[in-house]
Parts: sequence; structure tokens; C-alpha cells
Amino acid sequence: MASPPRLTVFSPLPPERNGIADYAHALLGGLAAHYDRTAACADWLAQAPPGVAVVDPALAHRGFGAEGRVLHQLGNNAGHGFVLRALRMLPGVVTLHDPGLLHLHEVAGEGREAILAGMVSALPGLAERFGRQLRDHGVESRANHLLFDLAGDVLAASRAVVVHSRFARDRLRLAHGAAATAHVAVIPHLLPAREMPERGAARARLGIGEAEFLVVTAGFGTVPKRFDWLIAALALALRRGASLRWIHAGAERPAEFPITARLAEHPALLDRARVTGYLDAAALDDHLAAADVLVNLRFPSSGESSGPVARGLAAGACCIVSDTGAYAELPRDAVLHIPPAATVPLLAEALRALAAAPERARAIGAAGQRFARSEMALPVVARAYAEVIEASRDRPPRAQPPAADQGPPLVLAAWPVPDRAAIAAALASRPGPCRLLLAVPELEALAELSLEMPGLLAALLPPQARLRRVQLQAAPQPGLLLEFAGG
Amino acid sequence: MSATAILAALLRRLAPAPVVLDLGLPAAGIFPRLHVARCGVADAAALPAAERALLVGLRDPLRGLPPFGFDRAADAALLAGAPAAWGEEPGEGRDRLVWLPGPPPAALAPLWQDGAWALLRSGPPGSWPGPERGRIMLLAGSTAAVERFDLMLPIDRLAPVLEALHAAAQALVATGGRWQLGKRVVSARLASLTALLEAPAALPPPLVIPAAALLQDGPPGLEDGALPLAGVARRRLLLGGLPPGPVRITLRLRGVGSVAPVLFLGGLRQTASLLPDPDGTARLGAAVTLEGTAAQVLGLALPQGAAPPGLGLLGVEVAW
Repeated sequence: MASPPRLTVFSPLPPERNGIADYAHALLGGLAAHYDRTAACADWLAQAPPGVAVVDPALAHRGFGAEGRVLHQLGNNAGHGFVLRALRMLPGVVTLHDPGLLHLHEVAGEGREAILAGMVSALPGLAERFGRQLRDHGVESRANHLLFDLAGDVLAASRAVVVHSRFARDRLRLAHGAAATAHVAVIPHLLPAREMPERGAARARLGIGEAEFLVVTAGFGTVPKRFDWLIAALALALRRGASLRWIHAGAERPAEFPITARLAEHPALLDRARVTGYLDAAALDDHLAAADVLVNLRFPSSGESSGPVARGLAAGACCIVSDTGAYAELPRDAVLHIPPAATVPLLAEALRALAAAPERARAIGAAGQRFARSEMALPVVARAYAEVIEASRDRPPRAQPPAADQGPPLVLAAWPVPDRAAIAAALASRPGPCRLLLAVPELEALAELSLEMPGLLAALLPPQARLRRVQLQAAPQPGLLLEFAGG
Repeated sequence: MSATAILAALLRRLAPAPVVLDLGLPAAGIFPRLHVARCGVADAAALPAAERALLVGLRDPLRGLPPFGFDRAADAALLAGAPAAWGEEPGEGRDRLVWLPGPPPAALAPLWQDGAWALLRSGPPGSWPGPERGRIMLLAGSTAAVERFDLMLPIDRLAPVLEALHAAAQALVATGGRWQLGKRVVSARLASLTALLEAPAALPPPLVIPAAALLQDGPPGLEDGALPLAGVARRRLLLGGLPPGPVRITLRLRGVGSVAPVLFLGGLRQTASLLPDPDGTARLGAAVTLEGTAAQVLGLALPQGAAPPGLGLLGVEVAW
């Protein structure tokens, strides 16, 4: 019997406190039926499932062999910087857990030039108007995270891309066009192989009475999870006579949203609420299994999916989600959708009604559980991955980032006064990748120039210039060597 | 004893031994068998991106220089023949030897013009600017596996270097084993030297690499000859080119606390044991099997917070 093909998965893994690390751990286990798996992780001591070796990502390429398959698990936070770098060098299938990657680019040291270049590949006209704020004034607005997904390079460098919802796929398609996203497939979020705890046992471990109506939220306390709306809705439900208890099973991020401080403004709720801090998988499962209701709001949504919702569904909790983004695709009978436009009163009313009739919550939870077991089961998801990976093997990455022009660079004198119009004309004459040397008589002159003109490059380059790299050159001719991507 | 090991042993016995620029990366070159001024690549742009990313992150622990091919300023000094760049004292005037993985690239022309030697596997003659070149064909290895190399050097050096290499080979033969040894002068431009091992006397001696000679991916600097590892979560060390097969790799450490570093080879975790020595140092050793043709990379990982303040790497030993 032939041995299964080798698959290398680049991803964070536990003990990193990261939902994608948990996802990848579960997926690696599920893929055992299809592949001989290796996990490439920045933490060489990370925890992988039995039978999966962890390899230093910087050396993983040496073990690929001719038939090597690669899967990258990419999220929008600093823990995925090594995945972003690897997927550019080692094209494969990429799971985009969050189709917006601007935050990752900001925190992974990608540099402003790379971010501005990525913005150019967004919807026509957006970069010219909104990207200029970052380019000229250094303004990093929250709106940029919705306007610019920075996913263009990832789409181009991948043989196939997996997202968890049609919303995420359509969002990418809207920004990057049908051709650039033809290789995007939708695979639902997965359920870990482990059984969820039994409700009564979980409640006993947590000290929660059988008759208490428990509302749970989970994960990091980020802004889009709308704890402001949730707290207002819980307080309103209490005022309207609901009897309930709320546990946030996750870590607070006070810099993003101060849950504890905001709770203090609602004394009635304060007595019935608790924030646990970060929980390991077993403790989180206990909270999800103990819940009558799992609330997972998201606004604005950039198409992200939620691991806790998948586990909450598996546990049979009644899941209440925002009627937006990927959550809107969950079946109407499997979860309760709350429109973002009037979340507070509608959520308060839903909680009050469910607390008064817990059997209704259990009925919705049972439907959600059936859905999760059929659509999100690990073997189903792993098979879908194998199909995408195998189908992608003959498909080259759509377009590798153009290689730098290694011919002699364009040379323009930048001393004593750089000529902006001449630079624009020179770049217009080279529509493909090119290099431009802003020549100075000696490097000290360049230092002087940069002092005279703060933000030298921003002032000199035309808005459409896609600067990829800047290098100080001492010889053979001193100056600033700029490398541009094709237009 | 591999052909590379024999060549290294011969070159080491020359008086004075040439200083070496090893451009064999990412495949096995002559480092770590010979102390080299620098390791590197002849054409970094031609490397696969992932291999380039691996090598560009490595640094010489003394000067903080990346491998040759990745830092134009440092490379230019070496190409210009600056003694410091070659690790020489001014006026020392030692011969310079470049280990090449293939034909000579044009960028290295200044070296040939300055009379540097080149050692490469036998192949097409290539283009050698500068003084006219002579060739010493070197047949090394074992009688069962003969490997052919060319030593290209200025023609006026051919005869004395051939004699010196032959004398070095005779000294090597005297260390034991049964050898086929010979030299032949065909013309002023062409000669050959044969050093083939018919039957080894014993296992070759262990290879000892001091910390100062290990390229690594941390900040430069040694403390009393040791590479400091305090506060380090992970560190990669370029072990260089070694023939495939089973070996025992031992890292000599000082200042080891209660938690032993975890040893990696080729990015994969190895089962290693930590043995304390009476002098306060400790040996972290593992029996491993070397595979592939690429230069070997060791790794050390410490659980966060587990690296004690005085932890340092003194060197690496490879035993057959």
C-alpha cells in the first residue's frame, strides 16, 4: 500500500492563545486520513497531534520533495507573520480565516510601502482617496481595515484559497475581481474531534445550578464583538424581569473594549456577570456546554468565522449571532439572527423570552447541533480540504509577484533638487517592474535631502507608484535605490 | 573519510594554509572541516526563495556579517582583497582559495585577477580572468568512490603547490590506513594528485567546531569564547556540509540551568541527553542520522523563560 502524500501545514499551534492554532491542531488530526503531515510552526516546541512532527518553518522547505503539498493557515494577527512570509516563498493552499489582513501587515513588519502597494490592488479609486491619508499623513484609521483587505498578494501567491463563508469569498471577489478569486473555495468552520462535555457535568464543574439561565460569550474581547451592545442588552433584559447570568469565557482586551469597567456602570448586571480570562480548550468547552445561550455579535464584520460558535453549536447551545457577514449564512432554524441595526432592544427581548422559556433555547440549540454535526464534522471538513489541495496541484499560483527588474536601474539626479515630474515620467516609461536610483553625489547629501524634505519618498513619488523596496546604495553610484512592482 | 575531508586535511597541512572563501552553500562545502574566512553563495539571486531567506538571516558571531552574497558592502571588501575581510593581518600575504559549487561567476573576477585559487568539482574549464591558470586535478575519496576536483591557480604556482600538496598527502598517509597516493605532471599547465583511501585505519577523529566559527541567527558577539544564549527562545546554527550517515552530535554548553535546551537538526526535534562535566560545563548530545546534500542546520530551543543568564554555547563536536 502506497504511503500517503506528504503535507506541510504552516500555522500557529497550541499553546499559542489563538483560535486558529486550535483550528489547525484539530485539522491536522483530521487530515491523518489523507496525508503524512508535518506542521511548520514558529514555536518549535508547539503541540501537534500524535504522528505530526513540528518543524522549524525556515527549514521546512528542505523536506518537501517533489510531491510536497503545502497548506497555510493565515489569520489577521501577529502570530501569523511567519505564515505570510512562507506562503510567498512556498505557494500552496491558503486558508484565509479572516479575509482582512491589514492588521497582520501592520504588526508583522511589512512596512508602510508594502501596505500602500497592497492598498492599490483594492477597489478602483479607494487607494487614491483613502490610501493617501496613510501615505501622506500616516493616518491609520479603523475604516482602512474595512476598505483594504491587503489580500491581493495572498490571492496571487496561492494555488487555492479556502475561506469559511460565501460572504468572505464574495467580499474578496468584490475587491479583487472574479479572475483573481476563481480559485477561492468555501469550507465551513470545523468541529474538533473531541466530544463536547455533557451539560450537567459541565455546570457542576463550574458551580452553576441546573435551573440558572446562563448566557455565555467567548474569545478575546475585541471591538467588533460589540460588548457595548451586549452589555446594554443584558442590562435591559434584567430591567424587564429576565433572570439570567452572563459569563464571558475569554480574555478581556481593555485597550479595545473595557468590559469590566463598562460592567461597573450597570450594578444590577455586575452581580450576575463574570469575565474568566483566557481559558484552555477544556475549560472553554465546559462553559460552552453549560450555556443556555451563546451570544456572538459581530459588527462590522469582515467575513471572519468563529471557532466558539462552531463549538457552541456542537454543544447544543442556542447561538445568537449578528445577522451579518458569515453568520448570516448559518441556517435560520439553527441559530437566532439579530439584525445589527437594532441589536440592543432585539437582543434584550430575545434573552428575556428565552430565559422565560428555556425549552425554546434548547430546541434551537438542538437544531444547531444537528447542523454542526452534518456540515462541520471534522472528517467532512478534512475531506473537503483534501479535495481542494489535490485539485490545486496542477494549478500554478495565479501570478507570482513580478520579479524585480535586474537590469540597470533608471538613474535620476536627486541633488540638489529632486524633480518630481521627471520621476513620474521615468516611471511611466517603465510600466513593468523597475528600479530607480535617486542619485546623489555622496550619501551625506541624501541625509541632508531627507532632513530638508521630511517624508521624502511620499513627496516625490506619484500616487500610483508601487514601491516594493528601498535600499541605500553606496556604490557604484551613491543614492537611494527604489524597486517598484509592475503597475 | 570523504573526499571533502581528505581535501580539507591536505589544505590544512599546507604551510601556510590558504585562507578560504567557501561558496558551497546551500549545499555542502568545505566548511566546517576547514576554518574559513567566510561562507556564502556565489549567486544569491539564483537560490530558491526559502533557502535564500534561511541563509540571509545567519550571522558570523564575531563580525555580525551575513554569508557572502547577501551584503554587498562586506562582499565588496572581500572581493577587493582587504586583508581584514579575509581574516588576515595586514601584510600576511597568505594564499586565498575559493570553494566553488560550479563554474566561476563573473562577479568573482577580481579574485582571480588577484591570483586567488579556486577549488571546484571537475567540469568545463570556465573563464578565469587574470593571470594564466594552471590546473591540478585532484582525485580524492576512496577507491570505491573516487571524486574529481580541479584546483585552478596561477600557472606559476602550480609546481610548488603540487609539491606541497603531495607532501601533505604523504603526511596524511602516515596517520594510518591504506592509501593510493600519486602525483603526475602533464605539462606546466596540468598536473594531478591522487589521494584515495583503500582501507581506513580507524574512524576519523571527531570534528570540533568552536562557537566562533558557527554562523548563527542571533546577534553577534561572544562572551569568553561562548555564544551567549541567555534569554534566547530559539537559535539556528549552521553546521555546514557533512556526509550523510549516522553521527553523534554534541554541543558543549556552559551555564546550563535546570531545564536542558531542546536540540533540533534540520528543523526537527532530536532526542538528546544532557551530561554535566566536572568543570561546570555540560554536553548536550544526540545520535542522529545526517541526510541530504544541504548544509546541516542545528537548532536550540528553550521554553520561554528557561534560559538562565549564563547559558552559552562553547562549540559543537561531530563524531563518527
